[in-house]
Amino acid sequence: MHLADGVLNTPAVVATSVAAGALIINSIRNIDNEEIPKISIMAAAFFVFGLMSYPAGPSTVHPLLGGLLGIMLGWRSPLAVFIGLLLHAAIFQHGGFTTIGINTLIVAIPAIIGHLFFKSAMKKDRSISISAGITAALSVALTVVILLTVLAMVNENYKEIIYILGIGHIPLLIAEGVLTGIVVKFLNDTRPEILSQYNIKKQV
Amino acid sequence: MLEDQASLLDKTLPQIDKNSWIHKWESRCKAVTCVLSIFLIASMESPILLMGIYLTLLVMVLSMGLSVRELIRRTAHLLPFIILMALPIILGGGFPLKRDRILLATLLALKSLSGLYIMFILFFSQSIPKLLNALSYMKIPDVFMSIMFLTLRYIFILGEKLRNMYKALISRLFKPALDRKTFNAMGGVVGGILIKSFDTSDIVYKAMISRGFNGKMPVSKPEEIKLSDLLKSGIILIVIIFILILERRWFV
Repeated sequence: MHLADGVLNTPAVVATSVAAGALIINSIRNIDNEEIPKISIMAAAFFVFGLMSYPAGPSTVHPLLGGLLGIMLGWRSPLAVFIGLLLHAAIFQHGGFTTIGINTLIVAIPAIIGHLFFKSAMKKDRSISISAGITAALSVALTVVILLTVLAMVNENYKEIIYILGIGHIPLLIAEGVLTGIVVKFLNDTRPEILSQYNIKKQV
Repeated sequence: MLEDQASLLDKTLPQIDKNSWIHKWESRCKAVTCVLSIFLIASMESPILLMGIYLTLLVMVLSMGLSVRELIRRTAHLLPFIILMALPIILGGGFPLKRDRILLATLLALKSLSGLYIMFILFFSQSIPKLLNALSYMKIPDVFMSIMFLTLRYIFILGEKLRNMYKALISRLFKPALDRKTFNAMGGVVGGILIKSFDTSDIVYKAMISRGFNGKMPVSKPEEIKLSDLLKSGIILIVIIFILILERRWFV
């Protein structure tokens, strides 16, 4: 979810903005021109698919895509996330400027951790769909944990929001895990060169 | 390429008067002022002063030429978020309602709305390609700007592909539900769209390389920064800083 301006106090704004800035600067370092199209596509995918929603009981949820971003872009994920969020703000006024730091961190950090997890799973020749599914579920869980931790540290009166957000993301954790598993398996079956960085052995 | 984007963006962004003082404000000055203003306003703690700032921003947005109807429609998009955040805060302390919780919810709502209206000022008074063009002269890394320009283009390409895929699904009587069939279908849709998009981006990239692309997007010269632009930025920032000082001395 995108936090709007005003949710965080000044110290939290400064801390999250600096942390996000450091992550983005690190993700820009030594970029090869050939990576630009892939990063742009994934940033656009983060933007577009983040607007999709699917039913979950009485409500709907929208994908965070941290897992998929981490698998596809690895350490370049923060850049794609930040650009997607900037354009969400520009075109739909979703999210805020003071909270763009936290909004970036809650997707980018889980994306990077997801990438490391998936890389480790592929080295051990695990199932692609299950590994990708767990990566995405782990990514959603970490997103929620980081967000709720920051909210809890900012103001104790956010306690009730924390419960609502925590419970509300459980269906997303399952849905995104399943969806990402299917998507990554599809990509590997159709275009294995897209995931060439993981040296995936052919799976039956 | 940018003209195509402009016509598509016109459908997403409201059509408003192009002769207001905000439209004439140079893009770089406007961007810096808006971003700094949001950060300064977000640090305020007085609901009275925040209400004053919110009302001032409301007047500014209306002076831009945005219709009341459009303003209400756009503001309504933020309301679910504000309600989702404010209600648990207010009701979480039980009855009778606690003053500090009501104050927190009020501050949250006023800051969110103020931030929203500043975004209206920044993004509705100029096209996004024009804003990106101006930002590319602000020492932002070339590779970052190249990715921004390309992402902006691919958003509409992906959106179009997604719309076509959904039409194809609906024409085949697909009804989304929480079941395996839906997830398989949506997984295939997402995967298929990604593959088509990677193919498109590959073709575009090769075309760009063959035309001498070296990681830096060619951009046109930005508008000259005039004294009036600096005055607009200076006055707005000085007023906000003055209000902040006032708040620290007398209101908090």
